[in-house]
Amino acid sequence: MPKKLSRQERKREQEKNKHKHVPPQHLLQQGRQKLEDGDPRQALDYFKQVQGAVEAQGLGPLPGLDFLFFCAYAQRAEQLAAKGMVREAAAVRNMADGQGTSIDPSALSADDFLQYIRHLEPAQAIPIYARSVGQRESSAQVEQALADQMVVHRCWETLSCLDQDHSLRRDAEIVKPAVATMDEGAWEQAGAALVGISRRSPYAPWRIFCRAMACFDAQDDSGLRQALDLLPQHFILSQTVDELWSVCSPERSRKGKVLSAPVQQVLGTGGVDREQLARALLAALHQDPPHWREVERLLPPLAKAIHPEEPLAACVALLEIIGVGARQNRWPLSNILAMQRLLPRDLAQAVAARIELVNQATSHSVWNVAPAVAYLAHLNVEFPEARQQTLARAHILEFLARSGHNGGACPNCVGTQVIQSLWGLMGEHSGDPHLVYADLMLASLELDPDNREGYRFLLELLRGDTSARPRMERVLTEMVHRFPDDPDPCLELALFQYSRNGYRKAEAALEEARKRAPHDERILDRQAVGCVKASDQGRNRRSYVLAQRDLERAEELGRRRLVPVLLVKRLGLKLMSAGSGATAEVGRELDALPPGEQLRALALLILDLGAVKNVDQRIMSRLKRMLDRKRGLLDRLSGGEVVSLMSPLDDEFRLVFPSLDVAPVLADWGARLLALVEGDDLTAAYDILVACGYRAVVQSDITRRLAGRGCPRGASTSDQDALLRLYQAVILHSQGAIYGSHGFEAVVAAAGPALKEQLRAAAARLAPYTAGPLREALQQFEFSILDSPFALLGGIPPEIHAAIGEIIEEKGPQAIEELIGELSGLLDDDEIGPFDEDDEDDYLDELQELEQLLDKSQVRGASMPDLKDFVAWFRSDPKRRRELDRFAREFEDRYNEMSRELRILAFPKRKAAARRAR
Amino acid sequence: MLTHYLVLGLSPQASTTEVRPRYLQLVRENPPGRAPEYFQKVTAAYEALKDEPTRVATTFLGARQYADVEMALLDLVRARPSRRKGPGLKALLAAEGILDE
Repeated sequence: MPKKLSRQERKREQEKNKHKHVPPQHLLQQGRQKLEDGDPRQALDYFKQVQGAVEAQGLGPLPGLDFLFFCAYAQRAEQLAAKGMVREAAAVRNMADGQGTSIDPSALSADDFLQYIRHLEPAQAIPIYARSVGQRESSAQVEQALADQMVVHRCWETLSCLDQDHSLRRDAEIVKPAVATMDEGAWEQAGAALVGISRRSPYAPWRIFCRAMACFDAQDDSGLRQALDLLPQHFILSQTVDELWSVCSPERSRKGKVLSAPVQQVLGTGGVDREQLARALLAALHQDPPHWREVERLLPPLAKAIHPEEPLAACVALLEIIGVGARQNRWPLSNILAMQRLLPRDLAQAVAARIELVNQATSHSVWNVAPAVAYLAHLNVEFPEARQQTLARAHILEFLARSGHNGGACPNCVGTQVIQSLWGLMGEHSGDPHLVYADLMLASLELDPDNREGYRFLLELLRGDTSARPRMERVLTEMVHRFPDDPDPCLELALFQYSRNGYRKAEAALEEARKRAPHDERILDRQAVGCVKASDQGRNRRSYVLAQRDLERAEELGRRRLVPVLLVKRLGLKLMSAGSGATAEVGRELDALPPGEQLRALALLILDLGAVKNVDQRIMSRLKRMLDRKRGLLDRLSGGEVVSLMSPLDDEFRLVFPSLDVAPVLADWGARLLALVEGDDLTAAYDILVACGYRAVVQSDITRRLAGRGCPRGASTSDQDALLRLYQAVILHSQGAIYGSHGFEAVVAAAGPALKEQLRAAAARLAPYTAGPLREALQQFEFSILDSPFALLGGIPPEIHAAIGEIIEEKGPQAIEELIGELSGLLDDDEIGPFDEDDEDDYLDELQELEQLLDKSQVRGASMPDLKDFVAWFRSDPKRRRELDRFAREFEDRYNEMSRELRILAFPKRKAAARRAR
Repeated sequence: MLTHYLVLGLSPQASTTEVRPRYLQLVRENPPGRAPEYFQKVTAAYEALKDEPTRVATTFLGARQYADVEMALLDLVRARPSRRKGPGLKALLAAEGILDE
């Protein structure tokens, strides 16, 4: 009965049968190819078949077959030795040596001779090479192979058969001591010892290798890459070279090379296991849906591989990375939080809270404070020291304030429960939900008073709030004292004091700023703005001499940035003091300016005088007519000049102009101005108009351009079209003309990477002028949120908003089903509807509305006569007066909550009555 | 983030006073001129852990800096400096199977 063959043997038998009728020369060629491919076993199979065929056909010995057998056996012996199979390697080597005896080196080709030398022991190779010296052309590769053999086997005495001048023998004297240093692992010294070796020497690769190893020791990856690049392809330590490549350039080393584990072990680079595990983890995560069980199985071994001493810390870090990636990859957070079971209970809770906190999307819809509250409860787990706990607490409070404020969450809409829980975190607070962010920041700064950025953010929060002025002054004064090297708080304080007409205090603050930063140009700028503010004050009181003197003081400071503003103020003062008769003189002065500056100065003049209460209306109408007459100048402007004409004033001029926006003065010319702008200037012009609320003008210009009407030939490129379409989508979406993400996605999907960046930048610019889901989508450049049902409603109604916040706060983010049920109930509720005026928790109560109105009217901080003028003008309209009286009756009990200006406006006779009563 | 501690070769429990000396030691051993990439990595880690407030902030919100899970994970895996002390030539030859140990 024939012996049963194994699968491998059957395969070989099949291969043999397949090659039965193949000519021997062809088989020999295939065997050679296998040998070159580094597969000596296959090569040997082919050579044996050739031998069998030759014998069967009775032919004589095939030339070169012995040599090929020798090479294949030698190569196989090397492979076995590399695997640690020493005995098997020795046996195969003997077979190679047996074949080697019949080889005539002189008959070999140059390439075969190189292979032959490579596979010989140096004791045999050197004499053979020495005999070939006169007969063959010298080969650098052969000499390098011999040099490698010499360094490995150190049989230097065999070199005596070479000429004294032969580089192999001559340079050996330099190499010998260096090899001993290499054995000790002192690669830098060994490299230094080999300095005498020339680049052409057969030992030169060893000098390069020493440099590579020295770079490896020194963690110098770029040096290592440079050195490895110089090494010859057949350098004897090939596996070490591969491993070094994998260390310094992982992307290059991955090309189908199997790295040697013993080499990794000896180099201490055994990072492959870690990396393989990490890649397996990523593969499991990137499945759809992710293989969570596999992820959980891989986490502990990977954590141990990353940080064997503290695998728990590594596990926390891994969960953190996956948890933070959850939002971007839309993985359900619950699956990640379920893996917290890999950690001890208290640590798991702290990490879960932190992941939720970091991951929380502060959006138009929900400002979830529950994770922060939960994390604060577990602070001691991650921060054992009291000082660290305090700092962490400060960070969390700041994080809450920033995320709520930047996310646009309205404190009045987040629900009383949320506000109560936030107040619970702070200790002392104002008790006003509207000031909750400022309260959070104040509490945070109390814990970490050196947080400079925190102070700046607090100022930003307080800036828009009139009732917070005393608090703002306190914060600024605190900043001035706490950061004695910083001029910025002094400048801020000066600005603040100027805004409330505290000139002396402002000058003192500027003086302090000058001491801190003597060469800071901003100090003089601000001082000049202060003088202009004082001049405005004098002008508004009709003290024109004083106003003129202050203006001259500002001019004396010689601030170049203020030149256009000073011109406008001077012309305005002239008109106010001399009356409408001075218009012609003003016109003459303006005519002397270039067209763009003329138009800009006139627009600023109209903007400035338009807000002055006691200005002669004839002056205003003459100025407006003058501007209208200068319309023709527009055609002489370039696109850039048009943008400069429309662009808003710098923020520091807020004190001396009623508004920073110049574009509204030129609003009637919107379409004509836009027609003059092209290229990058176009988006700048659009941005200015969108910021001022002139969306219709922009929209019609975009429609015109996209339709190709009136657009200069070739001006509308596809990149510009994409930008225009984005602007159009934003405008149409904010008008409610389109819904969903389609309009945006279509633009983004068709864009290349560079254009996508332009679109992202444009979206970020437009975001502040939008609201709700659109704002969030533009901020994140992710438009799928516009497809949610809430987005269709244009955002969430305040009642639902509060309900979401409270449900999440109570039950955590997992309570989605409950939330949906609650929302459905609320949507069915008839009571939810438009703003209810009688409700005490009104979205924005009447008192706040009036305060905001006063903020916009620029009467804050005005003197009593000015205020009285304003009140008289405001109450001159019977309808307005009736409304104000009704308001005064209803809100009399909240008199103390009102600002000074509102009190004077609503209760103009109260002080007089009190005085009379006294 | 653990990555920063691993780059500096410190335990997450190490005190703040240990951070600066360790950073200076690493920079001394691997000056920026010789190993610019490594210097960048070490400096970033030092900046994240240099004092108590930054360290707390890093622990608290440091993970936010990673937008890409893959990058964050591979950074963590590769953060620990390998025991980069090149062995002697004989050890390398033995590991490659060219010479018996």
